[in-house]
Amino acid sequence: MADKQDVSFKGVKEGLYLTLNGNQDFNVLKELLSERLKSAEFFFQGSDVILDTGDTPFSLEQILEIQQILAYPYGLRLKKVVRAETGQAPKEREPKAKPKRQEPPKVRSERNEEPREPVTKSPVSYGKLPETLLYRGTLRSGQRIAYEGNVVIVGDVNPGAEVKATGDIVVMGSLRGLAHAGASGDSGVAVVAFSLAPTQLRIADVIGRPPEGGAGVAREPEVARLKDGIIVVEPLEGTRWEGER
Amino acid sequence: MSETIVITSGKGGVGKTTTCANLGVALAIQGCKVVMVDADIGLRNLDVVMGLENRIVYDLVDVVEGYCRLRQALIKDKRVDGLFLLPAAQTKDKNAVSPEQMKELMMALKEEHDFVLVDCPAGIEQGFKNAIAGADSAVIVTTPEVSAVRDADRITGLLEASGFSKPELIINRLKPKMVARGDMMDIPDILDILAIDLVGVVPDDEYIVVSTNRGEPAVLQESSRAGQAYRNIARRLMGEQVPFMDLTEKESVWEKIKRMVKLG
Repeated sequence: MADKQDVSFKGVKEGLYLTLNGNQDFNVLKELLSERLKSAEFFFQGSDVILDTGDTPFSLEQILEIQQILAYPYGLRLKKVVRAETGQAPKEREPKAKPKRQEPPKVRSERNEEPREPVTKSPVSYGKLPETLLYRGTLRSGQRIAYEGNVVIVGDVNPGAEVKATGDIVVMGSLRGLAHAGASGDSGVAVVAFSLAPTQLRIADVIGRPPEGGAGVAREPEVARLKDGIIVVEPLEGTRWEGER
Repeated sequence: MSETIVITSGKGGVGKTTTCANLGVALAIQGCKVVMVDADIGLRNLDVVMGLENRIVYDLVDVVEGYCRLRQALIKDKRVDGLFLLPAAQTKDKNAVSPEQMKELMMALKEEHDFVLVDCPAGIEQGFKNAIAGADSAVIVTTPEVSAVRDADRITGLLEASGFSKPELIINRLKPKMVARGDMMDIPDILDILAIDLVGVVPDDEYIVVSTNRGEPAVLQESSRAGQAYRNIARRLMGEQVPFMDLTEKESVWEKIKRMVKLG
């Protein structure tokens, strides 16, 4: 029978680590994978994926099928395929066809945590910082990022595209689409863009749109934040970014 | 009496969205209560053509899925009273709604409006099936090109199979000069193939490009010939008898000279 554990995603430094239980029927696996992707929808969008097929080798056709599922419509790139049989985090240098070795199942779950360790072992204690998503590339019409935390986009956000974050939104490019910062109600957040020309801007529960036939876009980075219940746009100058928080 | 009209074509790029926007505005100017529904989920355009893109908060899919009330998703037009737009979702696809849900939605919209205009996506798949569900009548848009007419013919067949008794035809982007030279399909040629009632002919008009880019439908521009054609079609949809426009263009002085030189 289908089991949730048959398809699992873990976030690692290189992207997403996808483990498939090769003992499960391949069609069931495909279905489970589609379901998982659908439920997370755009959370994963655009990530690189490392596929771990466990101790069962997948045929080339099967891997191509998985690549298809990942690529459309979720935009995930299958970066590499590993067959992890050891307790080590898989590395590309590792010889792929290692002799089979029995291992306790417990080690398997620990393995995926490993690449994260250098991050948590930082000498400075940051306390509890909100997570930040860095997205490289242009967000085009119909594409959408929704994230719990801050979002930084290195690229443009085109009209028809949507960025939704519970924290701040920074666009290192032109923001021409829709941005919603503080989506869960935080009104102390800001939207920053090198060129701030959104179709519509939302901060917390306030919705703003540019004035009809308004003046052209400023040729400098700007920051939008909430002041007395109105969205105010100002040039981005040094410490202004931090606002009165 | 209210009516739901789906504006469809089969082929893309023949002017469904432009037609929908212009007829919506023209009908509203005549005093009708009109709602335009963008059924092109995932590739929405009608809001852009209407210049209402930045007012979208909720969309058709939100309504169907129950995230908001229908009234909340309707965008009031900024120029004409009695005109509303129900925008499509951009981040979803056609499978986000079913024909049954569309039927229900159309029924609800019909209660409060005289005309419900549905902007159908190109193609004959799910999006088309959704758009025609719950529509009372259909207007087919075609251009005087063999490929567009071929697709219009296919659509006519599909509509008839779905129980639409009398689809009507709009011939869009006709160039009278090219027709006069024999370089473009003429109206009778098209009607000969499609054998459905003609409800209007819209001449090719450069102003349409300008109006689309500005988000201001051409019917609002008195001098636009395409706008005039759309105003006439709107009145015909309301049941008036309006004579067809004389599409033959006057020769410019330059063309007159050229002709004379040729003759000489």
